[in-house]
Amino acid sequence: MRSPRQLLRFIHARIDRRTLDRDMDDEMKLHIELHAEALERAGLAPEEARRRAVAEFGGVQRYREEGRDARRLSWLHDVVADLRYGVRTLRRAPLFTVASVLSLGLGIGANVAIFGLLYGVLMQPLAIPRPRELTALVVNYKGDLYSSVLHRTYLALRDAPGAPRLEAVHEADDILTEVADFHEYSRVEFVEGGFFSLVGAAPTLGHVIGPEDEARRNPVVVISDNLWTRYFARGRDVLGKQLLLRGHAFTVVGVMPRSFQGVRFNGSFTMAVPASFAELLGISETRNYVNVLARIDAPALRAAFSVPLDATYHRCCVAAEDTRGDVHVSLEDASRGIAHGKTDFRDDYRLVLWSLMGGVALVLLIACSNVGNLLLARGATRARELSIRLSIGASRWRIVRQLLAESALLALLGAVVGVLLAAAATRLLVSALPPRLDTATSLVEFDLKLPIMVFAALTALGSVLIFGVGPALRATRSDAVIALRDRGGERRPESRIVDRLLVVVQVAVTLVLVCGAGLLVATLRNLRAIDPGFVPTHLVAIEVETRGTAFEPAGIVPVHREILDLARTVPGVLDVGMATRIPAIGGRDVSFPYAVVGQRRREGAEVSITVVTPGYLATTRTPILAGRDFVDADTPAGERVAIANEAFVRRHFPVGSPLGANVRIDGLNGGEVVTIVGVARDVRLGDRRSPPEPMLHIPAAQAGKWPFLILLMRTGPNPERVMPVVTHALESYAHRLRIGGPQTMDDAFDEVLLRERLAAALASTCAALALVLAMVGLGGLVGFSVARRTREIGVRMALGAQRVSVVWLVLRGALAMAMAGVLIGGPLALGAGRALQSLLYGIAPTSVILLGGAAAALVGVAMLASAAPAWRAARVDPVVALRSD
Amino acid sequence: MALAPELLPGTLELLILKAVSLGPKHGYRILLRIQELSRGALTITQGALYPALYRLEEQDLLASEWGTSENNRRAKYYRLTKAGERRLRQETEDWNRLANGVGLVLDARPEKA
Repeated sequence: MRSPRQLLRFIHARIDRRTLDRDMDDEMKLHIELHAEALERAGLAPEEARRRAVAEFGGVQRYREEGRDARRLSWLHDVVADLRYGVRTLRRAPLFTVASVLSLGLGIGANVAIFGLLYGVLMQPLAIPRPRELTALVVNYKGDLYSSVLHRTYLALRDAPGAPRLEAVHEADDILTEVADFHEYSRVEFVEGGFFSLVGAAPTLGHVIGPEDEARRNPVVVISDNLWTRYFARGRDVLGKQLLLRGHAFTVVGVMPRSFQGVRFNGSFTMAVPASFAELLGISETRNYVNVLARIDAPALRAAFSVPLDATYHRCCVAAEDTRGDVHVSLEDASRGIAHGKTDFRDDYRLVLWSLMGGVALVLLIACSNVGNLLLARGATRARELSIRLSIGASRWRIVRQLLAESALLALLGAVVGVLLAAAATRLLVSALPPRLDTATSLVEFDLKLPIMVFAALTALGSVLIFGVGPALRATRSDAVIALRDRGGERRPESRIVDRLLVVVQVAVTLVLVCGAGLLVATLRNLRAIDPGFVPTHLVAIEVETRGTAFEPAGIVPVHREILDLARTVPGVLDVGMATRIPAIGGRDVSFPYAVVGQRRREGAEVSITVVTPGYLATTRTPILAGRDFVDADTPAGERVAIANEAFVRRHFPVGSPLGANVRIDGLNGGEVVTIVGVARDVRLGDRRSPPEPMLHIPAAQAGKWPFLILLMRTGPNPERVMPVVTHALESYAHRLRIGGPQTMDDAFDEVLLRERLAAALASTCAALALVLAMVGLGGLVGFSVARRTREIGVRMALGAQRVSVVWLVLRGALAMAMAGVLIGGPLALGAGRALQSLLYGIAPTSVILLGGAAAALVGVAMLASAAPAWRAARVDPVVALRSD
Repeated sequence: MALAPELLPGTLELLILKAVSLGPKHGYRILLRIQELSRGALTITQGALYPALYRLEEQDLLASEWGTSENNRRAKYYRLTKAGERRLRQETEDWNRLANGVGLVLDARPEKA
């Protein structure tokens, strides 16, 4: 295309074919009419004048066709011709083509893969109609954001004057589900009558829950595609069948499509019943938290609607002591799903993903400059061909266009290779994710979503602009005609400066990536080196819960000994213990206000309480540093005892022994005084960056009523084999005891540092790619220059230069480029390190050792990359070289 | 008119450029102007004018805008672009050289022995 105006016209013609046809018809009609009028004035009868005018115009239809062709096809024609020519020239240079396509493929592939992750985790909207409108109520409680409110708060807000239409969905709960042979806990959501119509998700079968179900308290349930398959074998007669939820019969009225996964980020949908059944299914009013939803498009409207809601919220639901604090509700965008506590890792991964995106963009930049350099070199060798074509009258634009068509073909092939590589890489990544993250897997799974395709296309287009335009303009510059007089040997010195600059930039960028990866790897190493306070191998955890079962009134404590005895009898189990909270696995974090007897009470201080059985600390192999472990004799009849962790001792007993000290714990069994009988090593419960909090262990027998404990077993070398045996034994012991989440510590432990491992692995891959590409670029350039300077080297050797000095001549050039790159890249690497700061642990973003090491390594690798061309230079035979043209 | 010679290929475009260079006009006016200037010596198939106009517009030698015709109808007025002016100058030169050359050859007298 020759001008923007033409492009506009072309686009216009594509889009608005009918207008253009009409314009053309108007023009021709006017012509005929004017001619007819002229003939009439010359004395012809009107009828006859018109007939003659049409006849003299010639075949209207034929000229319309020709006119259309003239309009639309000329541009397309040229493009097709350019592409054809491009295919021919690329096929004539297979080595160049393969090298460029591979380079671009790696660069584009890395970008597409990381963008796929970024899109899946941070950008992808929910699979519902018009997700952009979906809005959720958010509570800002003194700076902390919560996405759920009590059901009664929802009722108050719903009826607030000036409120938009609000619907609610209860946070899903696991409820005992029985149908046919199935007997398991499944996630059940409780929805207000208008929830489904607000969300706009249509069922595959039957109908969704509507307001009348809520009003009449119809015991109906809408199930997921997955449940339909598992419970009902996808039978069409599923509608009207019943399943038991906590013993109550519910009738299946609808099946949702697989694509519907609720309204939460990274959520999953299993089944839903009307909200009015929450209490019947064991959700007490104080635990009945709901997500509140609305559909509002414009951000300004969201803010406007938030005002009356906030006013009502303050009237109905804010405790007196909070009224002066910063407590507000507002409506916020929920198009990408409601944020949801633990499963919402978006904030954790935002910086990692964007940093990686920046990293792969740099890799692509390196790949592009490689291809750009290849094109420059090719432009030099094709100078004669191009100047001949210019001198026989081809317009410069025409040739630039042809060269760009070649670049576009390279980018297109690169994009295809890149997308294939990205798909393979993502599959590899997904298989490396811990098995428990199966919903997250669906987020990052690679499929050819439209946004990802668009991104790949834009990346390819951007690459053409970066690597194609410069060389194309250069190759066709008007003084390129000089090349005709050249004997095709030496390139103009200034173009060699551009080549070198490109390589310097590549080295600089590579240094940034290598340093960034180094920081992340060091962080991972430092975090791994932290003593977790227990031995994580060969541990199996199974959650045992009484909530919603026959054991509920008394809780887990009365039966915990029998469960422990049962587990002990399973072959392969070495040690057993139970606790309310287990590192990496989870559990519940309970803390109470407390005071050490004899010390001043610290205002607002709370202590974490972990309830454990005797033998638990031995099972985890957490060392007892002083005093004793719990024993079976620590019963409700005995003295109330506790084991403190090191953090607790550091806070309260910097000097002297904590043993024998008394601690008053408010809220434990209504307030109790316990005696510290032991000190245990600090245990890192989850994230290893945060320092351990003061904690007290309380023996289960003295802990009062707890609804659950996690059974932890240390096994022989095959924890996976023990897991089903124990689960089975527990189920036969208490048919209706709730057993959940059998998990090995190995898996859970992996998950703890998942983000750090992913970041380190992906950043290292990125840096390795950059290193390879940059060294290929540098080595290639050095090799090219040796080839070009064969004659000069021959002259030098003929004049008595030593081989060593020739090798040095070559290496010196490479060394200069590498050093310049390191000098430019150093400050950039420090800046990049600072941007990563919040991800780092135990290493300064400005670590001089790391930067120096990376720089030295880079220069070393650059020397290696130019060793082969230097060797070739040293073996130049002066006689042969001087005879060459 | 029937006896007027056919145009050489490509000549129509040159004539259109010239006619438009004398002032913007719509399709029918271009035709009239060419016939008037050639004093009826050239035959132009009227419809062929339009594909030629579109080709010239497509090459950015002509620009167009919509206006009203003398009988108050919607009409497309063409004018010469900068590139069109250049092209016209060049083609005129080429044409003159060609016509000169051909003329010289055709004017040749028998050589003396």
